[in-house]
Amino acid sequence: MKFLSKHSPFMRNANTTQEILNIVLFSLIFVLIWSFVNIYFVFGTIVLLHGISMVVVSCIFAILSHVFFHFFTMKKENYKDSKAKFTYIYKKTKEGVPIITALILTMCLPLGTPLYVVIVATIFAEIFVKLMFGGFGFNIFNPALSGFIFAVISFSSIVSPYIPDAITSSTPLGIMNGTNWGIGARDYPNLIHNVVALFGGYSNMIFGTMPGAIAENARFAIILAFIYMGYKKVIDIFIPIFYIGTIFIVTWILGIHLGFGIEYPTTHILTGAIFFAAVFMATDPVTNPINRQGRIIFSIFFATLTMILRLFSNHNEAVGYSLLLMNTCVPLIDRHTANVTMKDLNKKKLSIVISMAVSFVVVFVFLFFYQ
Amino acid sequence: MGFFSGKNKVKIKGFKDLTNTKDIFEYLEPKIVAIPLRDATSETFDVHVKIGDYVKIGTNIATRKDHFVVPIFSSVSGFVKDIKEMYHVSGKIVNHIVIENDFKDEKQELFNPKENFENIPKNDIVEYIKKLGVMGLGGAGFPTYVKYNTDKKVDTILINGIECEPYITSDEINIKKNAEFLIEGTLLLMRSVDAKNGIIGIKENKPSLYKVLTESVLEHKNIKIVQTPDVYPMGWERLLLRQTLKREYDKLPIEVGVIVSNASTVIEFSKSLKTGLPAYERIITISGNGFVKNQNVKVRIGTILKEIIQEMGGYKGENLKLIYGGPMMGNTLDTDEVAITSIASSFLCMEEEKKEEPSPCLRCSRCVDYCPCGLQPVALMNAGEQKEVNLLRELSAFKCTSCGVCSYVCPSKIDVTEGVSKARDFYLSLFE
Ligand code: SF4
Ligand code: SF4
Repeated sequence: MKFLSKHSPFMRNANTTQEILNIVLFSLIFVLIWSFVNIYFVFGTIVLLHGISMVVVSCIFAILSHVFFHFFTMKKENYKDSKAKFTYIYKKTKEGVPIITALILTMCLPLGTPLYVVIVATIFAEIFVKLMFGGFGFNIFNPALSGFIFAVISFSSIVSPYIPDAITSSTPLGIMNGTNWGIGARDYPNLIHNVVALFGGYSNMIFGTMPGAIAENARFAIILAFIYMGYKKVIDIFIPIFYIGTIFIVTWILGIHLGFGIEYPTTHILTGAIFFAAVFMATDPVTNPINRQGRIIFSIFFATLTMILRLFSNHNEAVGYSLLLMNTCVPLIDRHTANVTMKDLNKKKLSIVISMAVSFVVVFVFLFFYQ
Repeated sequence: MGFFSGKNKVKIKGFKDLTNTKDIFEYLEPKIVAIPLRDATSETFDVHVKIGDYVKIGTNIATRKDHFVVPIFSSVSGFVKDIKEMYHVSGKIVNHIVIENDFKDEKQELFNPKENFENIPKNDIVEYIKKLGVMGLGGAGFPTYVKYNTDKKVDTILINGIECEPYITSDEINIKKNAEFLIEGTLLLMRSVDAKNGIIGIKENKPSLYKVLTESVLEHKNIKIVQTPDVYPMGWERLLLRQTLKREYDKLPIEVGVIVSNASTVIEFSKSLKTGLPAYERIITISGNGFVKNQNVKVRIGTILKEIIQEMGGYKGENLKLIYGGPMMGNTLDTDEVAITSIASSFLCMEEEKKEEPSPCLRCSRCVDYCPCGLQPVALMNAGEQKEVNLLRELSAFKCTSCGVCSYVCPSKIDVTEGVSKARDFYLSLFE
């Protein structure tokens, strides 16, 4: 009798990576559809069609990038007939999850980004950020985010202000950045109030019927997606909680200093891509730390960086830049939260984690007051 | 378990009902037995018999002689036929003493049977453990006398009746049948180290076992039956201590005043005291979809597995894996011509399912979350592949117990446990 030789364990649970990715994909599509419905009602059919074509084009080019990349890099001698080659490319492309990257990328681009910019950004994200690093799972930077930043930097004059005629080019984020978030404007106690009113109140900011990137304003849908993905355990719910929570608390303190009330932090978290980035980009498991402590440090630092960039340099893409910067810190964070044994975890590590993160926040607050 | 430390345990379907409701099948008349000259990791033995010698049940045929002294005994009466190399359950080739059974079952008592344990002087208890060559039956096979031969202060004896690996039910059956022996033995062991409390831990999904045990401890207020959640690896000493006593230790439980013993170990010890004979039979679980019959079997130590399986109807299915131990930590065997050792509790046979190709690791951190040792399996695996010694040290490679949880939870179906075990073995090999 011949028996097979295998390494333990001999049982596996039923979860698969495909299932996890499908849940993320489903959530993204849900948010996207919500946004499209909003866009249709606010801006009409033409803009909607443009939005849809951005998404479709991005998906197509994402898949094509993978297919071509694998076609040119495959060791042809290993695959005799074209069927074997096809299976190889199909498998590799599927493993590379092009669609999720493409969706996230287009969802952060402003409505009205020209299609060629979408295409260039997609190819950049797939080829240079993902495939060149060894494919999905090996990339250091979040591909979608890098593609977005690439588009913003290389086509800055086209991407940010380019809005089809019918649409006003101002977003709440733009206006608030324009006024330096009320810093040095203590004589405008109604500033926030006016800006919020200009865009139809907080309900619009939550449900998303106002200008901005395709999906960043569908905050209500994003929250639903967050709950769904958190329930299905495909994301660490503490990343968005700590990220948004830190921003809220820090800006609340600053708001009090500036003479604003609770509307100041509320407006902060409800403008820009904070919700979208927190739920869909910061939680990308490939580019965030491997354990809980690491992810919490990551979120707190990420929040502080976002605030620094937003308040000191008034960047519209503060969230994106800071997340990209945090991506580079992931190996460092991982290394410092390595070797977490049960015993020293509770006392030593935890205090280090918290003191480091808190001191960072404190330094930031200090810097702010110093200004 | 906590907010920062992850879950550290995982719920696994038990498959225990395949065997725990059935009677014990008996196969007590093997033609030959082969007693392996290996326990735990040691193969240095003094052999006391030659080919052609006549031995009885309980004859001391060899003694482990490295830093521990553990005698091993014959499990049948008859003539020593051979001393030869055979495949051992650990996968190694090991010397075995082969004895031909004459079916007379002549016995050679080591001492007069003890009817009443209360008459045994306190200082003799460890001596009896040593004389009987009692080994931990939880899997590691560590000599029991070493644990109890201590002058540290011990307040609790923790009896491990968890059996957290799926499929295996031999301990459960054994406890159910011999609850009295378990309680008596526990009291005796408590007395030997002046421990005030005894705790018997079993899983909460075994209400009938709980009932049997609570009934038999009624008059012993100092023994408590504790039910633990049905998670893997609850039977791991560290986790069991954390769960039942909320204590953490560094290397050995004795540091925090606890000695942990497996329930079957205690039962076998009490039985031996009552008969004056060392353990020569044991219950093993035969289970899995590759066997025709799934049942617990009572066998002589040293019986060849092949005979037992033939007696039970053989195998079925294609692409079989024969596993010694449980499905999470066991190892596959190349052949079924292996002898049952005194610490073997189960043999499983499973059909190999068509496995999906592993997909790339998406760093989902499930392995990190669930690792019972609080390690980072995925990082360890990668560090092992790169042979980064410093990183392996930082990540505490040596702590991995090969529990199998990381592979079990991985959604990408990567063989993480294999990678981590290799990394650990590589790391440890640097210090030899
Ligand atoms: S569980 Fe598997 S996929 Fe997830 S981080 Fe560990 S090795 Fe990677
Ligand atoms: S096999 Fe090792 S690394 Fe994997 S979960 Fe178990 S203890 Fe952790």
